[in-house]
Amino acid sequence: MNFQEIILQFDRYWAKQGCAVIQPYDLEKGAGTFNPATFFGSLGSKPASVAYVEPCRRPGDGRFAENPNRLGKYYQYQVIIKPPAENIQQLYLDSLKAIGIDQAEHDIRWIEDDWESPTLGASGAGWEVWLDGMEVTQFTYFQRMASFELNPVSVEITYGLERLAMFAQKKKNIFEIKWNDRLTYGELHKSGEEQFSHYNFEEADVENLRSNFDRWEKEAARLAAGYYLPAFDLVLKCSHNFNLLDARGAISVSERAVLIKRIREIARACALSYLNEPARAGEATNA
Amino acid sequence: MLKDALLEIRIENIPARFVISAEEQLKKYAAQLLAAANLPCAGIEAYGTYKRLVLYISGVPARTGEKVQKAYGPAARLLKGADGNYTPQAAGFARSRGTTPDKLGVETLPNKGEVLVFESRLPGRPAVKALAEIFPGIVSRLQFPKNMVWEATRFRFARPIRGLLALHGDKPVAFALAGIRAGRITVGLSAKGSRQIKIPSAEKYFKALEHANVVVKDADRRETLRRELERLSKRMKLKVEADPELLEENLYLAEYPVCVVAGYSQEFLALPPELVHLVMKKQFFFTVAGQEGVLQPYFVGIRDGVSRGQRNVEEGFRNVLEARFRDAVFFYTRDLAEPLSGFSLKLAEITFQEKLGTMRDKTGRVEKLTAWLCGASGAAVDREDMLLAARHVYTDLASGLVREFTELQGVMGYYYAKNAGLSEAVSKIVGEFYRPVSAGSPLPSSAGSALVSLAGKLDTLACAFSLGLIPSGSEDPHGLRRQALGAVRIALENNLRLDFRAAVSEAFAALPPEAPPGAPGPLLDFLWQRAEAVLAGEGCRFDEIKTVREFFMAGADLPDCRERVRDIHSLRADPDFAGIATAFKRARNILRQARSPLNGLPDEGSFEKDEERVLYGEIQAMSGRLKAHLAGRDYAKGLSELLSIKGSLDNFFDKVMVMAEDPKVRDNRLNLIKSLVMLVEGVADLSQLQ
Repeated sequence: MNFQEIILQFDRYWAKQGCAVIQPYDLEKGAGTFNPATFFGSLGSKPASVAYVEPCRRPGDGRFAENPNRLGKYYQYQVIIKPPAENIQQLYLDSLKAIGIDQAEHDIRWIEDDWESPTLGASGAGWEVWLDGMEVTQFTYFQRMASFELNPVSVEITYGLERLAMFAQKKKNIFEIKWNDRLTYGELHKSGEEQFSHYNFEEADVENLRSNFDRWEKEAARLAAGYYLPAFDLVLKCSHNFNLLDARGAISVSERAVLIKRIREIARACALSYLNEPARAGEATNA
Repeated sequence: MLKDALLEIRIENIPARFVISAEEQLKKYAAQLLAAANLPCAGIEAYGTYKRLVLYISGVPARTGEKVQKAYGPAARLLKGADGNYTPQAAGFARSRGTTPDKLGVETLPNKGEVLVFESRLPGRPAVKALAEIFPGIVSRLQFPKNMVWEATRFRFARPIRGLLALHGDKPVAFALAGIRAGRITVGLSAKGSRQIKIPSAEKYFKALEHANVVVKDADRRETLRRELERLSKRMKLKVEADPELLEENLYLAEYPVCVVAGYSQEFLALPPELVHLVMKKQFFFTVAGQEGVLQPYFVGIRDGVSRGQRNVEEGFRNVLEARFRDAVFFYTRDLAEPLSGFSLKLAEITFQEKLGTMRDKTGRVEKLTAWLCGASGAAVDREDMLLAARHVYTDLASGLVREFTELQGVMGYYYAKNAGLSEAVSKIVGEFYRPVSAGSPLPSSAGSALVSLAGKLDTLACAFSLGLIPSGSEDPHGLRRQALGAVRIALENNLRLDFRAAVSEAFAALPPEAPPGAPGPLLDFLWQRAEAVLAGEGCRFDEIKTVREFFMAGADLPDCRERVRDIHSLRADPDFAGIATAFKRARNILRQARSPLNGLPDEGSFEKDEERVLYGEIQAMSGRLKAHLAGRDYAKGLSELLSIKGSLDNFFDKVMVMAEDPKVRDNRLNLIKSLVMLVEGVADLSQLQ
């Protein structure tokens, strides 16, 4: 099954399970969890079911397109369901069947891995799902988001699309994945990997990144109370800038913790503002 | 009629490390709650897989036993007044219990004396009713290192509970918990589609699950797996290395373990064997070795399921393993190309602790302590080698590989030191720096290696105690107990004549000026507690060990402390020994009553009784020999010297009144006793003996 067909199958499958299939959010982010649909969607008590593809950027993971397993930019398929269905594990296994992976023919194991994102003040309990030994999914019951305890909790299913495609197509090199029947992943993305690796590791202007961080942080703090959506965009920008600074090797150990805390605080301000909206007055949340 | 009772808690994949503790807890709480409900049973067992925790109680009767309930009332003297009639208090108490005063009894309670009591008998009730309270009670009591919520009642458990199966014989036990109603339904193996199974009775549970390819009992899975690995070893004419920890881990990743054997590319065997083992372990794979333990390019993995699609799994396992190996090769090759000095420089960028500088600073302290230990320990070592090694004990922390595989710190240090052209001896010291890595694992293999490793531990401990990170209770996030235990084992097994009091203050003195002032006393005591554990593990009793604590705190080396304790331990069997210990205690107690300062030098002319003279004569005669034995660390002989005066000591205490009227006589006798006590105290504090 080619790459785009996997996405189409997932869209179809999760739509059938009642998910709104939405589109990626148009800003740089390190993981699908940063999409406002997940960040705000997991807060409050209103039920939510969404599925979407999310392109993710992890500047430090880039390898100049030389490593067959590592990318600085890749695609996640993200599903958020609140509250989680009782048979959610089975729903997940059935979703693999939808892309042609039948558990009866493979080994699927759930390896403890309690995910957390200090930047978002988020944590959960869950697993890495291993398909014949390869990690293909992160499966998490969120417990906290933006430092708020969640009630009800959401389940987040994050598939690594490239991993699944490599598995399905028996490829040992990401760049050889068939995107459709004509194009390969490499044809679409190899130049990007090369150029962005140079930019991320060597070229990005550290001074510029630092001053952007400071200004966006200030603006986010100013906006959060009234306009949490634009403020959250600035949280995403700060977070991506942090990742770039990190890839440039510009962050010391002690500074790292400080910067992460600064992002976490503006993210929390956005969450607080969202929860305080009159529209959510009836929703029970435990702060 | 007796039937078995069963509780199955079905959960979403619970981590291995939680299951074993949960099984113990299931048994413990079941025993407690069954006893409280007066419901007897023939046996309690618990089992677990990643998907279910099972409590199996055999031989449970249909009804609970009759239960006696006691209600306590006012004091017994208030039963009847002077007129012989029941008092209003007694009548009121009886009324409140729905009875009459003539049914009241009297019982003596520890703190209250005699009080009125009313005993009522509750008739037995159906076991299913009692179990319907006991089962949820047990589940709610289970404790895990980490809990979560997943449903509307916000019940907390390690992982989501997805089913409850509860039976007594063929009768369902009805209760609800975490939004789930208990029933008689469970599911079979996940790989076969988690088919629903209806369990007709508790007694048929294990058979029914066996048919659904679930091996519920841990021991059965272990046995199957072990047999399977042996069979594979025979077939391959090689040895599948069944690492026990890994075996346990695998037991809780599969309900129906099936072995998968495959090979991998020979090229990866060029990696250090420790690295190969670790990469395999991270995938939960067993390594395969040939003659003399040399690794062979095969692995054995365990899958959860039957043997369908075995080829897929083999191929998948191999691909993942080789990808991981390739990553390791990438880092390893890059690290080998970097000079050791490059790593050393990078250590200046790795913070150790905010107030305690970088890893480079820490390296400097380890070098300093190593130099000091060379002189202080009296061990015959190669100082040059040790100082060179000390400079590189942390360099591998800057390598790419150790950043990726932190477990290999030290181990990789050896390879990088060799690669940089350092001698085998020096490289080995670097490689053994973190030893012992666990309570029973090997120590550094040479005295020099041991001292460098000890220097590292002393610095780490001093750092932690300086920052106030002192472990308490079961919490020990920085593994300080292991560090201290390592230090103690190193000192004992290398027979180091090391004054720990001096070593600890040396370690504190080496800390940077901005470090908070430390507490050498607590650290010394912390080390002593580990020493107590080691000595107790060797068979000495705690009261015996305590007799030498003060020696250690005052700077006696650990091998010396151990000698003393061992000799006390073996002499304790001598019947005279107890007498001496008691006499010593008595002497110490008498000395406490002294009002003037004592010097232990009695005036022979002032003795009034023969018993005094005889005892003093013997003490004097013995003291020279005793001191010689102590100087030669021969405490057994020293203790026998003490035993030799037992007769005259007994006579003395029998015939002589120490606290005489005349202060001069009294003080002289006290000084006589003091002279003995001073001698004994040179061996051990025998007053600690119970």
